[in-house]
Amino acid sequence: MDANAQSDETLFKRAGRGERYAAALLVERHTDKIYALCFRTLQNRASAEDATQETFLRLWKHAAKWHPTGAKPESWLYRVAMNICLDQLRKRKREAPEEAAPERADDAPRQDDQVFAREKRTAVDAALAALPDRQRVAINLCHFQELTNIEAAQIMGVSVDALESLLARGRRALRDRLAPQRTILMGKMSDDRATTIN
Amino acid sequence: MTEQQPLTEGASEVLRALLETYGSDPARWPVEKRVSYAHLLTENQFDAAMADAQFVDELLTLSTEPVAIDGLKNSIVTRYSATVQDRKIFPWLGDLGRVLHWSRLIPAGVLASIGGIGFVVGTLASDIDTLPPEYEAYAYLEVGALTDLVDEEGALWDVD
Repeated sequence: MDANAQSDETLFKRAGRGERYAAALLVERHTDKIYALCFRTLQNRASAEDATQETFLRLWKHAAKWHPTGAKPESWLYRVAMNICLDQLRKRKREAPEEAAPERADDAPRQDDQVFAREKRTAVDAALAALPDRQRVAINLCHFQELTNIEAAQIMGVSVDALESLLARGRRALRDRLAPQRTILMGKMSDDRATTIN
Repeated sequence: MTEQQPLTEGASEVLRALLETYGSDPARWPVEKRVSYAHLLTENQFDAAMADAQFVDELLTLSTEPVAIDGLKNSIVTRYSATVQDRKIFPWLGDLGRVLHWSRLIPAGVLASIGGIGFVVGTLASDIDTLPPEYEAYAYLEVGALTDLVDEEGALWDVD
């Protein structure tokens, strides 16, 4: 049987028995998604890497005892990652409760396309960062991770109605916050889509 | 059951809520809602809501795309090896953790506390004097005489 075709459940069990190859496959399969979730929640590369490592460390510790209880292994990973991120955010707020508000993009048009694109991205990232944590996580899970509303609700430990409320409020806040720059942001948007940052 | 809904006030509200919650792309909506309401998007009255939803979708597309660094995966696998190694060297640590789990420790602690309290009370109670002599005297009453008295008079207290 092709190793890549093995289910996450099987790989969890094999990793729990100490099979490094199974662990490596799980890492290959899920790291990018977990990191993306952590990065979008924490808005910080180093913190996102720490949270991703911590998520897998917990997997290694629990893999031997893991048994299916209805939730998919991937959902379990997302849930662990989300809890780690929310813990980090709570800790961050305790340590620096009066954090400076995220920067907003300058309304004035710029000539330099790259600078312009970066500023637009910065404005959107700042608007996302300014969302309440749970609204941001809801948007992450449903929009970026493309999970179903039921899966996202399970991961967040809320009802589907509550998840939909978080999503709607998050998207509305994002829209309202960036509405003043709407014309500028919508301009050349299609040119910026392919841009990624490592 | 899911079927295409006609354009009613209720359906309009649901559609606006869907646009606001899940965005402009029906592919992102819950399946049953997509089947029931996506066809209504062609109606002009939803143009503004659709434009708002598209704006937010575009914003999200514009946000930074996170890409994990190459070294991260290696680092995680390395930590796996270290964790497995620890488990092999100290296999009893896992068992100890299970034995000392709080769900076992709390009942054990409660029982130990009750036992301790019982011991203290018992020790203190050993200092109490023995029963007074008038109670000891009842031990000499004959059971047979007592039952006769109860049968005759219906009251034990007429003994005197």
